[in-house]
Amino acid sequence: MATATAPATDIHHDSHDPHATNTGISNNKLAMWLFLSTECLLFGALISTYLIYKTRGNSEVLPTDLFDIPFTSVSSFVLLMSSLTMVLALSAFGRNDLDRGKAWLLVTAMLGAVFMGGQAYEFTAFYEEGLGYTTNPAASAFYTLTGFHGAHVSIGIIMLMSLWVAANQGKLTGKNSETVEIVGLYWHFVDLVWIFIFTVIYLIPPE
Amino acid sequence: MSETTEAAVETHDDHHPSDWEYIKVATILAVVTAAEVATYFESVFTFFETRWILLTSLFTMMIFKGWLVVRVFMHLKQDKPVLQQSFFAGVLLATTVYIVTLLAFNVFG
Repeated sequence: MATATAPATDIHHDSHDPHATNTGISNNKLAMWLFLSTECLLFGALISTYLIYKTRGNSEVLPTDLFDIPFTSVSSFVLLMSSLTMVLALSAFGRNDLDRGKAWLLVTAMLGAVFMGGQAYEFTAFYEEGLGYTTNPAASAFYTLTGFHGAHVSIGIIMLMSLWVAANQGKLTGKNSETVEIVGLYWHFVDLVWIFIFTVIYLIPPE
Repeated sequence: MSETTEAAVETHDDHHPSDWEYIKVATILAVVTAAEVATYFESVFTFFETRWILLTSLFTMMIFKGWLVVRVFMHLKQDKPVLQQSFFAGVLLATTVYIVTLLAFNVFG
């Protein structure tokens, strides 16, 4: 333990960088990657649960009977494009182009909000068709999976808006653009999860 | 294993793609998504003679899209190998655990 601590102390003294680490990666960034790694297990469990229960609805209505693929495709496209605007925001902050960076952050949050609006519409339409949360195991698994993903998108929107406010207050500049990168990693992961959900849950036709 | 790590270190590159490169990747993602959605429509669906061809096509496109997002948008291509290892350890663990779970529940028929 002592030998592991010593080089870290040396790095601090040698480089005079209070954020230097043994790995050369900031602790915040490494922590975000490790967090995302564990999120794979969470979403893997939710997707697997849906696949196990998706046909367990007796004679009642199933989520697969109600999917509106063209509508969900547009939502997916919106979320996919929000990944582009997120990376353009990071690129702008990296160049210290704060005005453009703030604009792209706002566009990313708005695209996320459009996706959430689409999910709210989908849930409402399904409920009106008689598919409630406790209607059958398939419905519970579907709402839990997509609801958890929606919660992640909502948290992402809050983080994006926090960055936007911080940038407007002058607390976020090109010098600390790593904060934008870390929030960006989270946002891209949420998009990545939706890529899997869209194919596995929506596009693969029932047998 | 050590050769893989060395190769990863050798190809480590701090250069991030330009905005134009990001737009090109997003365009590719949009086109692949359109191709995925096209399989939903009956005229295209019947093109796939068996279910397994359809599933293979959809899974290939899904993995390709995921790979592009992780490699380009999340900058894993340029970042240090330890981040790749950390992330893919989780992906590999989740994939293994849940494929075994799905097999146990006979989900694949």
